Parts: sequence; structure tokens; C-alpha cells
Amino acid sequence: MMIMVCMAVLSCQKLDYPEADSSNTISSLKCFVYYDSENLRSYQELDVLNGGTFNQQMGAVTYTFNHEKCTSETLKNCRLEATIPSTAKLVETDAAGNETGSGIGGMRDLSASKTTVYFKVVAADGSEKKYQVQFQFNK
Amino acid sequence: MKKIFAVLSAALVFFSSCQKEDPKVSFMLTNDNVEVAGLTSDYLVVVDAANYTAAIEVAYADKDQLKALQVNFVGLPSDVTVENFTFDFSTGATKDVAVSQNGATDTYVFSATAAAPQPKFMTASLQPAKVVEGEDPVLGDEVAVAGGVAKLKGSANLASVAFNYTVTPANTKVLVDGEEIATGAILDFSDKVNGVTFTLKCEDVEVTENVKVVTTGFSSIKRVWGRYVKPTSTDANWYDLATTGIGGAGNYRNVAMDANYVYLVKAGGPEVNVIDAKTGEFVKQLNCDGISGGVHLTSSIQVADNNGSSVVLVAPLVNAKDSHLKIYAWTDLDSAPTVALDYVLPEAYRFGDKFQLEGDWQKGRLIFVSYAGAADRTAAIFDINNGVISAEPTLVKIGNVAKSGNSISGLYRYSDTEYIWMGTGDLWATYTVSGDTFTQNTQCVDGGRFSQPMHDAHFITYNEQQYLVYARLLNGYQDGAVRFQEINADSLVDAMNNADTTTDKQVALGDPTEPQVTADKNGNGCGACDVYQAADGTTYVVGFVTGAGLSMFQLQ
Repeated sequence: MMIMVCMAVLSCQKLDYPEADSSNTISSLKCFVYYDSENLRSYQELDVLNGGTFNQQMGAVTYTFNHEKCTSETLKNCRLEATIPSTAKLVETDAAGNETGSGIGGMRDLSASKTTVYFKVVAADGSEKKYQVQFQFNK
Repeated sequence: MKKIFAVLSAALVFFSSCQKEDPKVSFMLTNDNVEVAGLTSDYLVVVDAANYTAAIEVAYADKDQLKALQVNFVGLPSDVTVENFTFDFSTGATKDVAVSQNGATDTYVFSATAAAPQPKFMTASLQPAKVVEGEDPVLGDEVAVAGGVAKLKGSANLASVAFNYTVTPANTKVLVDGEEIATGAILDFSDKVNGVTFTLKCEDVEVTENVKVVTTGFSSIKRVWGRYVKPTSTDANWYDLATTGIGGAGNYRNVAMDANYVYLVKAGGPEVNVIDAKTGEFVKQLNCDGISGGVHLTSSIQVADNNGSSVVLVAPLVNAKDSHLKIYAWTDLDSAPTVALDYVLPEAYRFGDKFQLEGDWQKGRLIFVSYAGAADRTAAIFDINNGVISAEPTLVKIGNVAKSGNSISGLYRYSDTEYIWMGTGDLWATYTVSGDTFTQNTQCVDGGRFSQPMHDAHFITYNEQQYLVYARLLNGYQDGAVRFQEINADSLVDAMNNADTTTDKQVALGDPTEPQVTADKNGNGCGACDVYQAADGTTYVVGFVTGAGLSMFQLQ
């Protein structure tokens, strides 16, 4: 009887979990431009945040390609890599904020005069921060 | 009644089906549809379609454009209408913008601000500055600041350095210790640890940037130990005659060193004294059994490296036709030397006052320059291969240096194609060398920057700065010193012709107190120095002038 009472009481006791992390900001964003489609080891690494116009509070970046390796051909093979808190996840969205995929990896074409990539960083506690990165290329 | 009800119901259904829905805007404005014209820098547009707001941020450099910001709409579907506009956002006002589609309209509230300034140095450079009373400072070479660090020469006066800069935004003020400075201001960078901290201020934004100086070359010369012929303190005594037999103002003329010892050779002898390089204490005299012949049995000395061990080489002084120019070699400081060279002079050259060593005991050469005055002086060059000195030299002519008079001198290698002559009787001369042909290209006549005698030139590199190190005598052969001159050109002739000798450093050999030089005059103008550089760059220089003294220095 006593054992049953103890088991019943223990099952009601709530465990104290640590508070979920609320960090949801990016600390870096790199754009890799693969200028030799035959050799993916040939690329130019660009620092989008430090090389562009960036406002962390607004969650907005404008980056204009002006490196000599950035041409209408090479910009067809680009890959983005963001650094986010280890407890958060990054989700790509559309302009309306609808989720379109997980992460922003994979090759993408940034050769248009203007291309905007939208994503959000979701913290462990569920809080979100939206980002938009507009890439500009003057042909 | 039922019929009326049925008719009414039917009518109700009929009218309900005819009622049309209000038109709605299905198009969602995005940042890609919004362009701002007339700006000099990139800008940001964030559209929150859910809340019908649009925020524009222009760069600080474009803030004046907020007074009449021109906003255009692009990439709109054919059934969507949005009017471009120009609006004054500078007061913080917002603008309602209608987005119409098929008779429906959504209203977006547009706002625009300027980013906060981010003051920073666009360019920064340093120039050593010689401040002259009543005149503009004389500026040295400009050196760019990279990563907060600028590299200046060790000879630069770090207390007086011009700081040149450009900033962004253009209205940024630069302050040091609270005082605004203009570009070109003369500042003190002598604190190499902390550098100089600059405050950059633009409107309410302040940032700090720090600039430090690192120097090439040496910052100081430390006297490790010294022996003085005429000491002015009880700590600096010449070698005890009774114990060592080394005379104060005797005929000791040449010195050499390796990692462990200084070798001081007497003109006459035979006598080669071994001195502890670290302490300056007398150790022993070399066994001179078998040394014979010559005006002086021992006269000049070099130490050749032999794969980490030393071979001490001593030459006599010879000056007659058919006399024997020998080289005695010690591979063991406890044993008698071997005869490594026995060359019979074909003419009455005087060889042995000095000789130069290039390379090492496995691959090198020895050069003797004749003392005898001649319109075309002779030098004898012996090759060394695998520890064997060639029996016969190559005799080369080096022209009429030392005004064709008698001279104790040497030919010193700067590179395979450039040599310098220096000694008594004249200022230095440089040569272009091709094979065995020495062609004089400069004979220095600038007594303002140089004085002779100059002896034992060594070209060394210390902490990325190249130097010419040599022994010299001043005040009519009375005083001796070792001098360090920067080499600041790739070619020797350019470096010597353009040398700013006011930046030279000099250490006295005749007195323990710098920089006085007071000693005994010697009649032959002899002096000597040698350099030892360890693999880690630690550099020692030993200097000796007859009648002055013997000292060991370390570059720091």
C-alpha cells in the first residue's frame, strides 16, 4: 500500500527543466561563390554581414557583389552558410514568412540583379527572429 | 400562407446568391518591390506585409536624403498599382502608401531613418618626424598601419612620429587624451606595449582604436663585458700582465669569435689568446708549436665554422718576395696547429695585416689585401673546399684605393656581385664583381658622413633590419669604437651613397662610460671586430682597438 502511494505521489512531481535558450540571432553569414563548376574546391568566401549593410535589429542585410570572382556565370553557383546559436535552428521562408525548407544550404543562383533570401532563426524556447538578405549584382 | 412563405424563401435565396464579395488585394508587397533612388550607399527595406508596414534605413552618409526621399515601386504585377513618391522623412513622419489591385486597396505605412554613424579610420600611417625649431618637421618614410600595428625602424625616434589619417564619416573627429588632433599630428609612440589610443567621435557615437609600433632592428646595444686600456673605474681592468701577458697598448691588432670564445692575436708572438666570450675572462693561450716565419709570426685571425665546431685560422705578416704566407689551423684548442696553407709570394706583397673569411670550412674563401701602396692594389683570393685551402690564390687587381698608399685594409663581401673595401688611408670604396674582376664603382669622399680608419665590415641582419657593422678609430687613432649603420637599399652602392649616418649607433671601446672615447694612441690605426649570430638570432659583436680596449656587446 505504502509503495503504491509513493509511486502515485512521485508520478505527480514535476521535474525542473532548465529554461530553454532564447538566443536567435545570427553572428555570421558567409556566401561561397564557386567560380569553377568543375572544381568545388575553387571558391571565393565572402563575409556578407561585414561586407554588406547590416542591421541586426531589423534583421536585414543588403550585400552588393563586387569581387572580381563574381560574374554572371559564377554567381549561379553560390552557397550560404550562417552561424547561429547551437541551441537554435534556421528555417528558410518566403517573403510572407511561410516556411519553405530547413536551413539555407545548397547551391543557389544569385546572379540576378536582385535576389532576396528570407529565413528565420528559431530559438530553443520557440522565439523567432526573421531575417532577409538582399543580394545585388550590377552586371 | 405556405405559398407566400415559399415565395419569400425563394426570393431570399435568390437575392443571397446575387450578393457580390468585397474585392481584396491578394498581392503582397515585398522589399524587392521597393527601390530608393539617389543614394550613395546601400540601404535596407523591410516590409512587414502582415502588419502593412515598410521600414527603410539609409546609410548615415545619405541621411540628408531623408528630407526628400525618392521611393519607387518595381516588379509589380500588371493589375497592381502603387504610386512612386518623394517624401520628407527627416522629421520622423511616416507616409501612407496605397497598394491597389482590382479595385481594392491596402495601405502600407512607410517610415525611413538613417543608420547610426560608424566612425573608423579609412587609412592610417606613421612617419618618423624630426622636429626642427621654427621649421616644418622633416618626415621619414611613411609606413601604413595594418591591424593596429605599424613597423618602424629601430633607429626611429618613437617619441616624435607623425600620424596621418582619413576617416569615415567625413565629420568624424579624432581625439587623443581628450584633445582633437588633425592628420599629421606629431605623437609619442614610444610606449610599445600600450600604443596610442584614439577616440573617433561622430555625433553621439564614439569608438576607440589603438595603434602600436613595433620596430625592426635593435633597440639597444648592451655591453656584456669590457676591458679597457685606460679604465676609469675599478671594475674595468685590462688583462693582468703578470698572469696573461696581454699588454694594454701592445701590438694586438685583430680579434675573432665563435659561440664560446674570443680569440685575440698578437702581431709578433706567436701568441693567440683565448678569452671566455660570456665573461671576458682570460682562459688560455693556444699552443703555437710549429709556428715560424714572417715579419710577425702571428698577425691576423678568423674562425671558420666546420659543421658546428670551430677551426681557428691565424696568418702571419709577410712582405718579401719568396716569403711564406702560411695559415695555421687549430681544430682543437689544446693541440698545436696544422699548416693549412703555405704559399710562396711571387712578389713583395705585404699580406697578413688582415684577412677575410667568406663561407665556412667546407666551402669558402680567404681574401688577403696587400698593404703595399700601388696604383693598382693586389688582393689574393684562396678557395676553401672540404677543409682544404687552395695552394695557389687568384690574384686580382682592385685599383688605387687608399690613394695608392700603404694601407691596412680588407675587401668585404656584401653579395656575389658587390664588395666594399675599407681600411686605413681612405674612406670606403665599393666594387662591382664579376667572376674574378673587381671594378670600383664608388670611392667615398664624403668626410662629413664617414671617417677612416674603418675595419672589418660585417653585413648582418637583425630583426629584419640589415646593418653594416665595423670597427673605427677616431681622434687621430686615439680612440676606438664599433659602429652600426643601417643598410636601407638593396644595392650596396645605393645604401652607402644614400646612408643617413645620423641614425648610426656607436659604442666606445676605450672607456666604460658611453659615449666618451679616451685611450692611448696607437701608431698603426688598427682595429677589429667580429660578429656571432646564433640560430635564434641572438647577436654578439666583439670589438677591439689597440690602445683602447676589448668589449663584447649584445644587440637587443
